Amino acid sequence: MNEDDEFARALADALGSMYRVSLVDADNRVQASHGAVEGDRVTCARIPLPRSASAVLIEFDVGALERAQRTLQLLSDRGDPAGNASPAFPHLDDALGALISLAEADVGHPISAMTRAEKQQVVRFLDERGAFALRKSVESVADLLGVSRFTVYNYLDSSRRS
Amino acid sequence: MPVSAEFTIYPFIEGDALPPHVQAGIEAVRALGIDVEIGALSNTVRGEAEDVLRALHAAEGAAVAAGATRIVAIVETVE
Repeated sequence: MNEDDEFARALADALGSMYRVSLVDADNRVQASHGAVEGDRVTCARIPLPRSASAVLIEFDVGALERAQRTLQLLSDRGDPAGNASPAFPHLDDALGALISLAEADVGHPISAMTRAEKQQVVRFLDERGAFALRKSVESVADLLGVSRFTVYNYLDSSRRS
Repeated sequence: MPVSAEFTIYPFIEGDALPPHVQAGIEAVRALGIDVEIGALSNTVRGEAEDVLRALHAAEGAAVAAGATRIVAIVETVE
C-alpha cells in the first residue's frame, strides 16, 4: 500500500508542474497565465489564434516530460503480469517485413512495380536502417528482387563505398 | 546443359539510366541474338551453357572496352 502510494505520488509529481498556458498579445506580452512550470529546461510553443492578434504560449519542462515518460513506462511494466520489460517491442523476425513495407511506402508503390532506381533506393533504405544485420535478410531481399544473394552483397559493398 | 548467368558491370551507377559501359556489354550480347534481362542490381542471360558463356565473353570484352573496371558474374546450372 505504501509502495503504491509512493508510486501514485511520483506520477502526480511527474505530471504536475509540467505546462503553463498563457495568453499573449502581438508583442508577446502576457495577458493571463494558467498552470505553473518549473525546471531548467523549459521550452515553449507559440500558437497564433485565428482572427485575433493574440496567441497562446504553451511552456513545458522537457525534464518533467522525460520523468513522466519514465514513470508511465514503469506503470505499464507493472501492468504486465508476465513481467516482460517491454511488451510493445516487436519480434525481430517481423522487423524486415516492416522495414520493407516502410521502404515501399517511402517510394509510393510495391517493389514489383518499382523502376531500377527505386529498387536500388529500397536496398539503400534497408541498409541505412540496419536491416542487413538481421539473419537471412540478404536472402529475403535477393528473392524479392529476383537476384542472387551474392549480387546483393556486391551491391551493398559498392554502395557503402560511394 | 541449361544455365543462367547473372552479371553486374562496375562501376555501378545508381539510377534508371544504364551507363555506357553497361549499355555496351548488353548490346554485345544482343548482337549475338541472345536475350538479356536487365535487373535493378544485375543482368541475366539464360540458355545453353555454350551460348551463355559466349554471351558473357562478349559482354565482358565490350564493357571493358567501354570503361568497365570490374565484372562480377555468377553462372549456375538450371535444374
